[in-house]
Amino acid sequence: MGKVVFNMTMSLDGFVAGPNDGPDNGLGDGGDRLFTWYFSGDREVPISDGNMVLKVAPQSAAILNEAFENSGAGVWGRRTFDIARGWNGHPPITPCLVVTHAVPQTWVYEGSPFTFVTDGVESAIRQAKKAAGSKDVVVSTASLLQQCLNAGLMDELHIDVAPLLLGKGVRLFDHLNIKPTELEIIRAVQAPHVIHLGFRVISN
Amino acid sequence: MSKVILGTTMSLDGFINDHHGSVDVLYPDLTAWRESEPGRESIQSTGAVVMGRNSFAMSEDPDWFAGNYEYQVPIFVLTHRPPKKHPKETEYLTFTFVTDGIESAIAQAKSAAGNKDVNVIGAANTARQCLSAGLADELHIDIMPVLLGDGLRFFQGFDGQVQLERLKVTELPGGRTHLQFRIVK
Repeated sequence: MGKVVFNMTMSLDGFVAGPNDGPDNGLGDGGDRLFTWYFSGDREVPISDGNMVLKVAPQSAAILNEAFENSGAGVWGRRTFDIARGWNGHPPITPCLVVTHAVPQTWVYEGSPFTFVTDGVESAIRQAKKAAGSKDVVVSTASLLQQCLNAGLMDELHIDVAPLLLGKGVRLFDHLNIKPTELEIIRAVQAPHVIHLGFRVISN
Repeated sequence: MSKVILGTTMSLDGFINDHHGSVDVLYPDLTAWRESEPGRESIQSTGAVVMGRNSFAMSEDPDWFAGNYEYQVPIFVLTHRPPKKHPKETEYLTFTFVTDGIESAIAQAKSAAGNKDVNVIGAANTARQCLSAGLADELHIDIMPVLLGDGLRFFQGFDGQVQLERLKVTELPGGRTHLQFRIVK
């Protein structure tokens, strides 16, 4: 059965977006520099059904392609979904589950790539695991990462570290209610403008 | 040319100690670090150390540094109040308590270090002052494979944006990942 994997790009000082993030300022002030690595090579990697084509270094391409091959379902929080404006209907991973309190009806239609889960992150993870089959469930929202760690639901952390200090913004490792938790390092791969770190969560 | 290096060991979630103030889980094996390539390189290239008051208190016994601390070099401690008893020194390891701020401490350390590097050791306040004043040339961060959940953050209180340039990534025993960055000014 697949794993529950977290993946996001983070500044060295732990932020996944700068301050004042919103639908017109998706990554917050200064946050776009987190993704310099997305366009710092010449290997093309299409994402979101080809609506965006990254051009990355070979090491990053290998990691991105491996991740897409292993991904069976994606889980996002409502805030991220709103900021991304639903990726115009082309989420980075399908099936795409969104954890929310209220269902946005405009996105409910036959063939919609979205499943809205209103009864919490544990339910979303359970449904995502079913949808993913033998592949991995990928979580890509900070608040969900926090809830998953607190509930002992996270198997691996794939953190792409950008060479940057953002100082403020959306802090990834916030609101944690955990005992010190041992990790096992799986990889530390250098590429232009990023360090791809991977860890297995050992104890809960 | 000599550099000012700000460095630390921290958990993946950015803490330099847990909520009990314990650092044990971050330093499981100091001997292994001293014998690793980054460890040996750091010890050989460090000519002076600037230390925050809390880092100076890392040893309960202030006389422990002489002969035992990995950096047997002039040490400049940032403090408002020097201790009553001057800690033990050797021919190589001396203590200067600097009460007029980090710029002064780093200037004195650079002088003492000659061609070698100045290592700034300390978190939160010390790191924040160093980064805010643009005094560091490089940032060396060791990430330990652990989540602490709570405690003191290395970057606590520093809310500026700084561009870095990755210089080196080394995997060390015990899952420790050593990251070296140049601070782009």
